[in-house]
Amino acid sequence: MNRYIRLISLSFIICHLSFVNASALTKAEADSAYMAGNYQQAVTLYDSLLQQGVSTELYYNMGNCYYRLDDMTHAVLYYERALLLSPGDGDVRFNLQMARSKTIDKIVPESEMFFVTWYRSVVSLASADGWGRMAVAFFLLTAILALLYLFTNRMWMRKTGFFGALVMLLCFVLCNIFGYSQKKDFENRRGAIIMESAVNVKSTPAHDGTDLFILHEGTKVTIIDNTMREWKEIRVSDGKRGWLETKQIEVI
Amino acid sequence: MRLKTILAVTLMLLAQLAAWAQKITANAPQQVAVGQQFRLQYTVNTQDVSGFRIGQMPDAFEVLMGPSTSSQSSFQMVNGKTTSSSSITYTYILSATKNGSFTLPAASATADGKQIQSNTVKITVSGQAQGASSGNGHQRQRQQEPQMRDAGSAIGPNDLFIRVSASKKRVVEQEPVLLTYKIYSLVDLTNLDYKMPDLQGVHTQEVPLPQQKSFSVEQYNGRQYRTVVWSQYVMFPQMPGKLKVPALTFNGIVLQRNRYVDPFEAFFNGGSGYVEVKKQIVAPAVEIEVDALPQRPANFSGGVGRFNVSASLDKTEVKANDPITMRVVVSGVGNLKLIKQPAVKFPKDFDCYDPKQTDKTRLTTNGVEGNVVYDFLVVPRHQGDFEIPAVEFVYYDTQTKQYKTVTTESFKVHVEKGEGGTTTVQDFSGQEDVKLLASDIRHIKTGDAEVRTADEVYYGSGSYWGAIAAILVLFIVAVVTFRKQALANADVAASRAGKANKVATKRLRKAAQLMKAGKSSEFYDEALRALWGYVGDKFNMPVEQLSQDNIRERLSGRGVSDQLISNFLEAIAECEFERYAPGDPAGNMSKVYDKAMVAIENIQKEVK
Repeated sequence: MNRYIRLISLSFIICHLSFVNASALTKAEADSAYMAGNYQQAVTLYDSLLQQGVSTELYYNMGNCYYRLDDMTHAVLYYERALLLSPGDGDVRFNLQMARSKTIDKIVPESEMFFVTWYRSVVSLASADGWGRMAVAFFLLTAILALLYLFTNRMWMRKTGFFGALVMLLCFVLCNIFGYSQKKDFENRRGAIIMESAVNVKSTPAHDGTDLFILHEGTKVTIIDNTMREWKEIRVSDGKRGWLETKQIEVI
Repeated sequence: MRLKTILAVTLMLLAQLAAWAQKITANAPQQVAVGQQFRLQYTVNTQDVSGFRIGQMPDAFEVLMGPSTSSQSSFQMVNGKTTSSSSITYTYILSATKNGSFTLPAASATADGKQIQSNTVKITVSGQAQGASSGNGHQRQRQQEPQMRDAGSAIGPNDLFIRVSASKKRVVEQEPVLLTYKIYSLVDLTNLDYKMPDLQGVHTQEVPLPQQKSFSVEQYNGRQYRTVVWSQYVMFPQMPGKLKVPALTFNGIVLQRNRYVDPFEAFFNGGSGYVEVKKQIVAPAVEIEVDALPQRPANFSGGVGRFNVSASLDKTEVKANDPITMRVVVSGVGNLKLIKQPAVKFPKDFDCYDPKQTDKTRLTTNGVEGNVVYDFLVVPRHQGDFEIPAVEFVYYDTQTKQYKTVTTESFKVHVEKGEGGTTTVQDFSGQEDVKLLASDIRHIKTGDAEVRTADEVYYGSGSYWGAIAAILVLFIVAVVTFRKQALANADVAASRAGKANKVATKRLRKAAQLMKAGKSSEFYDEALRALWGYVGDKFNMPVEQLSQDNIRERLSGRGVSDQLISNFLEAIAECEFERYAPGDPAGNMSKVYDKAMVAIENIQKEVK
């Protein structure tokens, strides 16, 4: 029995190692293709890597490739995807801003109360996973500090344990709130990028609808009505709303 | 008979020629028409001529001019032998006045002292010379000379009048009509002045005619008039109904010859023998019927006539932000100046500017003719494939009397990605900003990538909740396991009470050390502190609130026997008493120490 378990675990480890090796190899290849300036080749390599699953690094590098190929639309799309996975990543944010500044539409976001902005920026500091890990860590700390309070008889330790546990519990609750919000965003995928060079945003989900305004490739929109298959109601960050065909946008 | 004479004369002439004899030769056309001018020439082959005379001219011929004399001479040197010849020619210009056959008599002259005679010439006059249109230069010239009349003679309505003609009497709206004012004159007209009134509901344009009017001769009502087209107008009626061009009054000035010129008057006033007479000529009114256009189509351009439209694009492959010029040319005949600009439906993403309109038309008697060129400047802003649809031009064809649509071809434009048009904004503040030479993205992330499946979120997953639950369980287990400690810790007073004996023992030990050192004052302080502190800790009371009474009360409440209580209180009292008592300090100290220790030990045993 014991032997079997050992065998299985061994084989699993070998499999895992080989898998890691393979992926590391091709990513290294793609990276070197990028560094050599073969951006098109790098795109195909990263793309094949992305077949195995998503990854901030791969999305980010993909975005870089498209940026170098002067395709800001795809660059924005992939940076946004990377940012969705790692909202706190400074490199991704910086490059996304660079790529966005080269897109056509200049959208001035709706003004909102400062604490809403703060809340958003705090929430987007980490991904749902990050918040989740933090929540577990805070919970663990809460437990330890509570035990400290309960089982030590030195006054300062007890005091530290008591107040520390309270703070950690608050942090745990906040992490849960932020994590939940990020998880919602991640799972619903409401963000989308306009992929056609210019699209007319319609007032109704029909081709003969009135053209409300024109958006250009690379602009990020938020899907607010996802119920139809052919059409999506979108909102631009400056508050304008309208309908677009599904094929004109790509969900982040 | 006559033939014979001619023959004889000719023979004689030949003989004379051969002998270099002086002679006169008459020369004239054999046949002329009535009214025709012709030349009669007499040539004498010597220079020395005098007394040239011609015979009696038949009355069928009128001498218009002559004689005019011209002479010529020539010298020849051949092999050292010089010959010379010279001649004089007398030329008359005659005009025949009636039909018939006439003989011009011989002319005579004295040449080199000899009397010589010319030959006679026979001329047949037949037919009528054609009028002005015959193209006979002399006659026309004569006709165009001012037919000046004497001053004071009346100028009748048939002597000077204006005829008005319209090219069409019935037109549709916007269809051009040519209005011509033509002057017919038998007098010497020098000036003509008039004013065209502004007409309602019609767009009028004057056809430019040469400033210098040249008259031509035209037969009208059996008389030969000098005529000229004075002015022409192209009219574009704007409203259906009757277009009335009113009668126009022309103020003319006619020159007349003044026969009774006073020489002094002429000398001082520069009188030329002519009088200027003012004459008003009235041109008749004209009416033109204007029909309304049939039901106009929606995209009717307003053009009436015959048109064509063409379009061209200067380039079909451009980079974004590079301008394209689309040229639309409307050409044809009609009211070109009044057509609407053709509408081009450019893709919405193109920036369009107002077209530049170039007028390459000219006014002709058919209307306005030529091309109107529209240059549309557009700037594609973004890459992609676009189509510029065909331009439609709807006009009313005056020939087929219906609306016609002409279209251009459509164009496909491929727009490439343009140059990155980054605009630089300068800041003119005193301080200089750190210049960012270029901004670029950050480098790729190298090293292994953490790949995961797309829908895998740690937060909220089983492992997350598992971790939370595990921590919770561990916590609870720990709490349960060390419950006693926890409970003990939970009661601060109990913990203090539990430690009371320990603290008291510690203090007594210190007192024992002080006793050994012989410091009696400090010893009693420490001993007292041990006793009082013990009860204070034990019953969770501040030391300053303690008294003999409440200690007794508390201790008895905890079930301590009165004996022990009084022992404890005695120990305190003794401690305070012995401090200042005389006698052996060392013996006192040891007695007090023992008593205090026994009292605390006993109470500790009882209370527990």
